[in-house]
Amino acid sequence: MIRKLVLLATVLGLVSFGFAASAQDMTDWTCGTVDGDMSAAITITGWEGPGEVDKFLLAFDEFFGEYYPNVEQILNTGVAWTDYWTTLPAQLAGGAEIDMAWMHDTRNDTFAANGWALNLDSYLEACPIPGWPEKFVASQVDAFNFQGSQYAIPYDLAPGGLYINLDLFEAAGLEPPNEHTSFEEFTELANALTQDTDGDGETDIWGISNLASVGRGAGGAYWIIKSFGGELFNEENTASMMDSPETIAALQWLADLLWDSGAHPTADSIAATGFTTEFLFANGNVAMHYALNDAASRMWELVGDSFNWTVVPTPTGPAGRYNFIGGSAFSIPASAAHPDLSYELIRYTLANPDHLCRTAAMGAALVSQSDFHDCAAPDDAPYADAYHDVFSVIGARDGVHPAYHPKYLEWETSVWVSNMDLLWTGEERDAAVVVQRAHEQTNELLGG
Amino acid sequence: MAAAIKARRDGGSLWATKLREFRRAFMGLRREESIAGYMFLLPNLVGFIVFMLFPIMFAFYIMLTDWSLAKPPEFIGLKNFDTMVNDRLFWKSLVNSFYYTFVAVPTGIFIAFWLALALNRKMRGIIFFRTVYFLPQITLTVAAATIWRWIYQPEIGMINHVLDWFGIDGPKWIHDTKWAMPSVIIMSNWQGIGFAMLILLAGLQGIPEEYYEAASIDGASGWQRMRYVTLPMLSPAIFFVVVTSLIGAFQAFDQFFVLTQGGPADATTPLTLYIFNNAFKFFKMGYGAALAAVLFVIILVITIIQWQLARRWVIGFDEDE
Amino acid sequence: MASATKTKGSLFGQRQVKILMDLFTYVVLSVVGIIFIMPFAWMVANSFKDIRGIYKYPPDFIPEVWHFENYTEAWTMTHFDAGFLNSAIVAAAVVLGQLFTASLAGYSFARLRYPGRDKIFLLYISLMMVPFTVLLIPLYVQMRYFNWISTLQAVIVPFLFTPWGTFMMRQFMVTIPRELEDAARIDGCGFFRTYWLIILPLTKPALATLAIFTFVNTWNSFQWPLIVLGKPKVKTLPLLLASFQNQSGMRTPWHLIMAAATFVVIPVLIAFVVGQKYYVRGIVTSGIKGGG
Repeated sequence: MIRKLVLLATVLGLVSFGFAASAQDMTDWTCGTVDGDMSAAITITGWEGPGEVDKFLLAFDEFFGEYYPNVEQILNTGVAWTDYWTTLPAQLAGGAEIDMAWMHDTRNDTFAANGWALNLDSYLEACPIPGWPEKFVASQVDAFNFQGSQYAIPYDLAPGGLYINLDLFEAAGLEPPNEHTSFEEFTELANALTQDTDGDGETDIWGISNLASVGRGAGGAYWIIKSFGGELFNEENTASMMDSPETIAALQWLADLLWDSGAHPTADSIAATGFTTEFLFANGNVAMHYALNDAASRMWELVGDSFNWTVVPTPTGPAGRYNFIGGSAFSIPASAAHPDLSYELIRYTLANPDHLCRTAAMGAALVSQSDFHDCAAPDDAPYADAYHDVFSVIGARDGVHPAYHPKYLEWETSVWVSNMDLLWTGEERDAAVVVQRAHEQTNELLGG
Repeated sequence: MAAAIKARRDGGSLWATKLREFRRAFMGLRREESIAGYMFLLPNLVGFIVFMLFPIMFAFYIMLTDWSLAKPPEFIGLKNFDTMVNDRLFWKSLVNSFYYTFVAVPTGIFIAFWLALALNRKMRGIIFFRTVYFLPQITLTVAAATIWRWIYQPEIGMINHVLDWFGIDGPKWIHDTKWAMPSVIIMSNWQGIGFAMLILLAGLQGIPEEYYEAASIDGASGWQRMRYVTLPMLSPAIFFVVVTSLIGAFQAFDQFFVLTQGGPADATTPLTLYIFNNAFKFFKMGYGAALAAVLFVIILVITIIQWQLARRWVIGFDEDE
Repeated sequence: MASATKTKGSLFGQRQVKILMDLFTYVVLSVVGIIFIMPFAWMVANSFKDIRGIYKYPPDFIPEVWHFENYTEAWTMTHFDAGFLNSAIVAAAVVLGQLFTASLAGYSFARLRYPGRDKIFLLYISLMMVPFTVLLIPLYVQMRYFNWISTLQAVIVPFLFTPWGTFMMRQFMVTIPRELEDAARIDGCGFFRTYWLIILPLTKPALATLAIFTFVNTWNSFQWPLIVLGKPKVKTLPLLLASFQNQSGMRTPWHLIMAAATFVVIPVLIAFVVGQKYYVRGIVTSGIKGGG
């Protein structure tokens, strides 16, 4: 109820703000550089499929219907994630004219450094996006900035949090963690919740899951490393900082959850079904499950009435509180045939207050403009208030991710995964050993 | 000077031989046959020249460059090959490719051969069984990979469950660097055997019944019929399956991509996956093309060796020319 | 004839041996067959579950509630009717094209004598060895040059020629008894008529095999079509199927994907069973002496 009132107040506030500001320039969402009668085809490509892309497609239709009725959209959305990152480079390298492309924070610098993505600075100056950058979540604005220039406009943010099985906590007589919980307290909780219910010697309920798994990139561990006071690269991304005792301690903490206390299911348990890592939690086998905010809507669907659950923030480390944050954006390829039109489309889609609340409510992600985060969770969702606190407030505030420099993808595959996998398969249980090797290989890659 | 003359003379004599060969071919009885031979190749040849020549020549150029895909390629000579020497992941993926190929291919062909023999019997419902063995080919890859991950699951997965009945503590399969490759091999044989089986089956069907009848009349036993009729008559099909399976195994990609993504710790990263990563993940297309050239040479050498060996056991080799 | 194969002193007659052997074959084929059929059966079973049923752990094999509506939902969600037409056009064109070019070239390599034949053949085979990863971009550039991007030509024309199929046709044609051909030649048949009237009918199992393979590969072809077929109206089935997916961690309707994958497979199954019709041994070889 309170949420609804807050929402109403926010909307009213925005509407009045909108009226005040729209008096002269806010009504028109064009920038004046494109002829309204132009007839052309605009090519848009992205990885999101039905359910996630619809909110944007609505906005696209409105934009073209209103301002450029003769423009035809050629939509190539729903290109599955891994295929997308093969198809897009191949098409761009082959000279394809793509006008607008979904971009991910992990790829931004690579695309920018290689000259694939258009530098948007002059556009932002000539035809500013309302609310840019102050109303956009800062970490996401920054994620698509390469060497001081903006290469994409973020459309969402995805912070990490903990999904809590309240029934299991209640049965154990324990309180769920909060943002002030330390890693020590958190470890104790996880251990206390881990049980072998049928006494066959095998764990049936795990305290914590999905913090680590074979093949996973560095983003999933980086916030823990930061919380312990460690780092991956130096400021310029030219050398490794991995051999610090803090980084090693953070990774050792993770490895111990798997192999020492056994509070975390091992990689093979997590990956038992190929569809998702959430089934253990959804089936009631896990007390605390680490996942991003976008898992919430699916959890709601999967868990149903089986048990009560909520979301809480990840714990606070000796060096402060950090959580993972990721996100995606819209970019304009340098070879776009109609970059001006694409820019207007992005501007309309991501900043028009008339539809942003609708956009925020559809799909699973949080929109990049923080003013609209209240629209995100359905009103009748029991987790709605907690979702707001954990993801929109704390998650957006404390979000960190590894420095996605142009060599990041190569580093992640050939150094990080290559070495860390040994910790997650249990073939090496001493974090210092794998970190030392990764440290040397990192220096070789970044220095060479 | 003398060397140059000698070279020219040798070249000249080589050309003279070729010319003689051609003249012989295009005169008299063989002339018509030679023309027909080239004409029959023509549709295919034109297609390859148009659609393969440019891409292949392009790839050959690219391997001598540093190309990030976005900026124009920069010529760097043989530097990519130099880099390879000290690239630990190149060597690892090379070893993985050999491991995969030389385990998956012999086992796969062996099973496919016996399966083809069984499915060649005249029995009711044999088409049903043939279809069953072909099904993995047409099952959605995601579905196949998902259920295989489930089969390989160490605690409750099917294989270890069965092993448990015999008191064997099964390995962690795809989550163990030593067992991951055998896991991929089992899955890809499961998927690929249908093809090999079908080709061998078609080969068996092509052996005229009369040959067996004649052998039976001569009093040949089952084994002798196999040794003196089936195997020689099937040898071209077996040779085809061996050559294409080896090529296919060195180029295998999907099964790694869907089941293990090359892990854990690169234990199942073959050269193809490493090429893919370099080309589309690290944006080192030049290096990727250089790796591809190495892969090409390896496959070529192995195929040529088989070619030489084929003269001894495959019918239809070098019978004329 | 039956008595000729009967081994002396055997306890069983040929009939009994055959029955026993058949029984043994059935048992072995069934046991091994279970492993082969399982993932497929599992895909079909999943196509009738709802999303919660899919994520259930440990999984149920048989759905608790049968959701037949998954099929209608999957069909309407993406424009599968158009996709079917595109896929059918591409598959038919590529299969017919490959059968023609591969059997012609295969005959040439197997039976005709001319200088350089085996060297050209080896060159052909080597075309199979170039990893496709490095050909993607140049081929894309070429398609752009021909103005074929987002047209079905781009997924048909470059694939009408097949070293793999040519190799296979050659291998099957070398086993055809030469006497048949010689007889035709003496009767005054030209090379093309010999190929058309004698060789082709004799290689039906091989042609059927090539047709099945090409059909399966073309029908399932994904990576290249994804890159060249940008416009929705030219998309083939696998592309439509894949477009259901969302980024990992987001909601992907796996039950609908499984339903769609199941009906996408049906034409392939039909092609396979029809192709089996040509797996018959009735070669007309009367008048030829056997003996390899």
